[in-house]
Parts: sequence; structure tokens; C-alpha cells
Amino acid sequence: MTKQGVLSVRIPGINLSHPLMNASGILGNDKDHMRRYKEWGLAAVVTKTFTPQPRRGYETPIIIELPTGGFLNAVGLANPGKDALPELIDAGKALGLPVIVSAGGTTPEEFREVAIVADEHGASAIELNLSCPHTKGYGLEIGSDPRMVYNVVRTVTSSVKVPVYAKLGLSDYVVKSSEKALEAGARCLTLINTIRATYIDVHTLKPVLSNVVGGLSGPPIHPVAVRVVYEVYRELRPCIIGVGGIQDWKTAAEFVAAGARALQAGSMLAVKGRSLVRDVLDGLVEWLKSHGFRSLEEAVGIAQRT
Amino acid sequence: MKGVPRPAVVEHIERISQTYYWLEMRIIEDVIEAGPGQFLIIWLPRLKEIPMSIATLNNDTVSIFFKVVGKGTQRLAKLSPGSRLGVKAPLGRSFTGMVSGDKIMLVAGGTGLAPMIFASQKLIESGKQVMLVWGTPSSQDAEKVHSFLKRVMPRAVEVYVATDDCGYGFCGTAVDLAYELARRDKPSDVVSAGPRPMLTSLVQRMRGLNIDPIVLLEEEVRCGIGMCGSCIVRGTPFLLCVDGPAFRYSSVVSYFEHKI
Ligand SMILES: Cc1cc2nc3c(=O)[nH]c(=O)nc-3n(C[C@H](O)[C@H](O)[C@H](O)COP(=O)(O)OP(=O)(O)OC[C@H]3O[C@@H](n4cnc5c(N)ncnc54)[C@H](O)[C@@H]3O)c2cc1C
Ligand SMILES: Cc1cc2nc3c(=O)[nH]c(=O)nc-3n(C[C@H](O)[C@H](O)[C@H](O)COP(=O)(O)O)c2cc1C
Ligand code: FES
Repeated sequence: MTKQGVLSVRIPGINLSHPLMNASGILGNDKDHMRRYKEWGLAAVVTKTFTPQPRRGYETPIIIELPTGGFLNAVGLANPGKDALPELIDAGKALGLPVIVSAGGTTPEEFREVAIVADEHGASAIELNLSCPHTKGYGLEIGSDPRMVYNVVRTVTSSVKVPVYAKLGLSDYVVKSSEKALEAGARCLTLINTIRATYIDVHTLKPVLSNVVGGLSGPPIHPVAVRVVYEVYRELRPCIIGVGGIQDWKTAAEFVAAGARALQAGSMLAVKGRSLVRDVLDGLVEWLKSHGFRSLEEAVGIAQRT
Repeated sequence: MKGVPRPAVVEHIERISQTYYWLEMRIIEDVIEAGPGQFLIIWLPRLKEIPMSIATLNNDTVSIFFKVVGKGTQRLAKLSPGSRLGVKAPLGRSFTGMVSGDKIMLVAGGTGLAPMIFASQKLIESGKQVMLVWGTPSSQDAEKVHSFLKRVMPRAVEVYVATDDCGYGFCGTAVDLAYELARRDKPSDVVSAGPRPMLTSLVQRMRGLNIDPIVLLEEEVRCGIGMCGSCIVRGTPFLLCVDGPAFRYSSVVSYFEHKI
């Protein structure tokens, strides 16, 4: 079988030529970004989280690298608003990229407004960002309340035709929230978003991010993300997109073994670009072969058999 | 680790002229290595971050050349020795590998002089012949900055100054002067930084001499490390903070065609 064949995998709404896409928020709010995604060799792309109205985002610093590893961001969901989506989706499709639109809002109605535009303009799927950790009212408050998760997901799935995915973050109720999202019609779960964190500069004695609290991403959150994927897969066996700290094929393979059938890379994709995509794809092919799997699908959740 | 705001302290600050300032910072317990065109982001605690070109760099000490345009640069101008800051550096890509030949003409407008100070130092070190053309509106600034440059630039660089008010140096724009010099001296390459209208007119004039200049562009830089996407160079897949700010003009033509 060809390399592409071994790695091809189906998630609701999309036949992926391989499992890797970008994580929401790494570029993805401007049509010109699509060419960069294309050059990276991603199988599908996810937009920045879009809200009904344009958002300027926070004052800088919005993203920093940490001396202890990883990145911290509080961008404040900067995006040009839902009216800019058609142009963005068209630009992706013109390059042959399936486009997943990430939708955000403070109420179920706002999520729906964005989702309807995405649905009408040819998005392949909609990912509901129920887990932004640093923008008040826009995320984790929803994602850590299973009832709210149900309401938002239900409102959207009852209004659009394309498949809806729910992106959840780290919370004590992530299994319960996952269950509610699936019950409300989500076809896939994207796990996980960034984790709330703060960095203080001890020379100036000040927190560095303008918003003080941001979301931690990159290699430090990988084991946490693998744990969440593992637990949710064990309890519910849903379609899972694993995200958090992917930096090479091994960190990608771990997600697959835990139960993810597709993958997203954010921080380290921005750092390494195309070479990360190559490393992940080549490494996964070798890994599958060395274990005698004929396809990636056979390896999904394989570590659950302990 | 270029995205980590490293602790730094102001060593020296000087108002060179009415418009232009010079500020030297020392990175605490760290050194940085960079090439021409690369920049840094200065974190002004609890205010904002501002991108600035590297004007000079010696191990742990880095200088910038700037003017006041808004609240960040206002605060910057009021700092004093001992003030603490953060510095993300080096960002972007050095353009040393892009320049062709040994006879380089640098053309700067206003604060576009900053990266050219660093470039002349690096190009002279690598054995090139360098001439620098700088234009600024007022002769009052021009005279003071010109004499200041003698302190911070290698002596081997030939410096030419142009002023719009005609009170100092060449009477006219940096582009007019650069064009005349380029016709006479036939540089092997031209590198330019300055306001977009100046770059536009430069590339048009140089086309007549069959020169495709390297241009240093400006876009809004919000993260500096390739994540937020704000610095996308219009009509191209390039991120200014990762792939730039220096580009061969022919690879970024659409930036110049895009309306502001
Ligand atoms: C890669 C890069 C390198 C740079 N290098 C230098 C440098 O070496 N020296 C230097 O002085 N500046 C440089 N700049 C520009 C500098 O970053 C801005 O002047 C600064 O961010 C303005 O911040 P502020 O808070 O003072 O003004 P803001 O509050 O951000 O802006 C105030 C007003 O000024 C306008 N403005 C912003 N930037 C400019 C500008 N460059 N020229 C004219 N008007 C402007 C804004 O549109 C706004 O209306 C560089 C920018 C980039 C992207
Ligand atoms: C700069 C930045 C911006 C982000 N913006 C969003 C966003 O708009 N919506 C969202 O769902 N997740 C956002 N995320 C979270 C990522 O999609 C991803 O869940 C997280 O970064 C973990 O993956 P990583 O470790 O590979 O970066 C953002 C992350 C970063 C670093
Ligand atoms: S400034 Fe954020 S990507 Fe360049």
C-alpha cells in the first residue's frame, strides 16, 4: 500500500489523506495564510476561532515562549468576524484544502450565527471552541459545564448540515462534557485546548502577558492531552482529534495509541513548519509497519488493550 | 528561545536630534547573535511590545534608532539608564545570504536607517564595499544624525544624506540621490528600508537600471514568532516576522499592489 493509503483516515465530513492538520489559532484568520498551510502539506486546515463580530484581541504581549519550555498565549480571539469566512473558505478550497471552521461565541446563538455562515459557504466541518481559557465568557466557562456544552452543541447541530466537532479543554468534567457533546450531536471531539497558566518576569516583577492569564501550549501539555484522550476514548469510544504538544512522530503516535484518529499540531507546527509534517508522516508510516498494522485506523486506541 | 522575553536593562539613551533617539540595552546574562535585517521586540512592562530593528549589536549589548509615533515609543523615549525591559530576539531572517556581489548600496528613509547601520557593519566585516544613502525631511535632524553616525558606523562606509528642505546634503529625496549614485557607480545590489511610498518609488527607478532591490517591509507584528498571522505580507504566503523583513522585490510585488 502507498504511504498515503496507509495514513488515510476518515473523520465525519472529510476523507483525510493523512491525519495531520493545524490546530486552530496558528494563523487561519486571513486568506493569505492558506498558501502557507498548503506549503506545510496539511491534510485539512482549521481556521482561527471566528466570532460573529470582528475582535481586535488584546494588547501585546499576546504570545511568548517560556524559558521552562512551551508557549503561553492570550490573543483574545482576534478575528475579522464571520463575514470574512466565505473568502477564507474559498481560498482554502481553491488550494484543495478541506476547511474546518472554528466557531466561538458567548451564547449558543452566537456559535450558531458563525456556524451557519460556515455551513452555507462550503466548510467541510465546524469545530466549536468550547474551551478558550483566557477570554472571559468565550470558552472554558462553557466547556467545563456539561449542560452548557449540550446547549451550544445542540443549538448548532440542529441548524447546520455539515458535521460538528466539539473542542474541549482540561477540566474536571471533560469526560462528562464529552458525553454531553456527543449526545447533542457532535460527531468528533477535539482534545485538548491550552491550559490556563501565568508567567511572571522576576526582573521587572510583572506578569508578562497583557491579560496576565493565558493558555499554555506546546510540549509541556502533551502528557496531559494524552491522558485526556485516553480517558475519553476508554469511556466513550468517539471520534477524537488529538492535539497538544505534538513535536515529532512519537508524540503524534502516542495520541493514536491513546485513541485519536486524527491530529492537530499548533505551537511546534509554527516553529518547524513543513519539516514537522514530514517527520510525523514518515515516522507514523514506519511505526505502523514495525507493528504490522496495515492502516492507521487499526492502531487507533491500541494502548487501551492493557 | 527567541520568543522568550529576556530580561534587559537600559544602558544609555540619547536624543540625537529633534526627531530621532538612540537607546542601548544590555541583555542580562545572555548574548544574542544576529544578522542585518533581524529585529527585536521590546517589552515595556504592563504597556505593550514594540518591534524595532537592530541598529548595532555587540555580544550582550544592542542598540535601536527610533522616533516617537505613539504611546509605546513615547514611553521608550522617557526611559533612563537602569530601566528594566524584556527583549525577544533575534527575530526574522538575516539578509546577508541574499545580497549579490561586492558593491552594495543601502538606501534608507527616516528610521529605515536603523537596520542599515547594522547592515553596513556586517557587510564591511565580510569584505564588501558599502555606500549608504539616507534621506530625512528636515536638515536639522540630518546634520545631527550624520555626525552621530560617525560614532557608530564603520569609517569605510561612504555616507550620503538627502533632505527634503534642502538645508543639508543633497536637495531632494533619498531615492533621487540613490538613483544618481547608482547610475554613476553601478552597485552589484541595492538594499532599502523606509516608508512604503519611498520603497515604491525606489523600485520603480531601479527597474530602469535593471536592479531588483532587496526591500525591508513593515507589517503589523503582534507576536514575532510566526503564530498570530498579523504580519502576513499581503498577497504572499510570507510571514514578515519569520521570512522577512527583507525580501527581493520581485518576490513581493503583490505587497506593493495591495491598497493600504
Ligand atoms: C520589523 C520592524 C522593525 C521596525 N524597526 C523600527 C526602527 O528601527 N525604528 C523605529 O522608529 N520604528 C521601527 N518600527 C516601527 C515601530 O515598531 C513602530 O513605530 C512602533 O511599534 C509604534 O508603537 P507606538 O506604541 O509608539 O505607536 P502606536 O500607538 O502603535 O501607533 C501610533 C500611531 O502611529 C502610527 N504608526 C505606527 N507605526 C508607524 C510608523 N512606523 N511610521 C509612522 N506611523 C506609524 C499608527 O498607525 C498609529 O496611528 C519597526 C517595525 C517593524 C515591524
Ligand atoms: C497562539 C495560539 C492561538 C490559539 N488560538 C486558538 C483559537 O482561536 N481557538 C482554539 O480552539 N484554540 C486555539 N489555540 C489552541 C490550539 O488550537 C491548541 O489546542 C493548543 O495550542 C495545543 O496544541 P499545541 O500544543 O500543538 O500548540 C491557540 C493556541 C495558540 C498557541
Ligand atoms: S507577528 Fe505574529 S505571525 Fe508574525
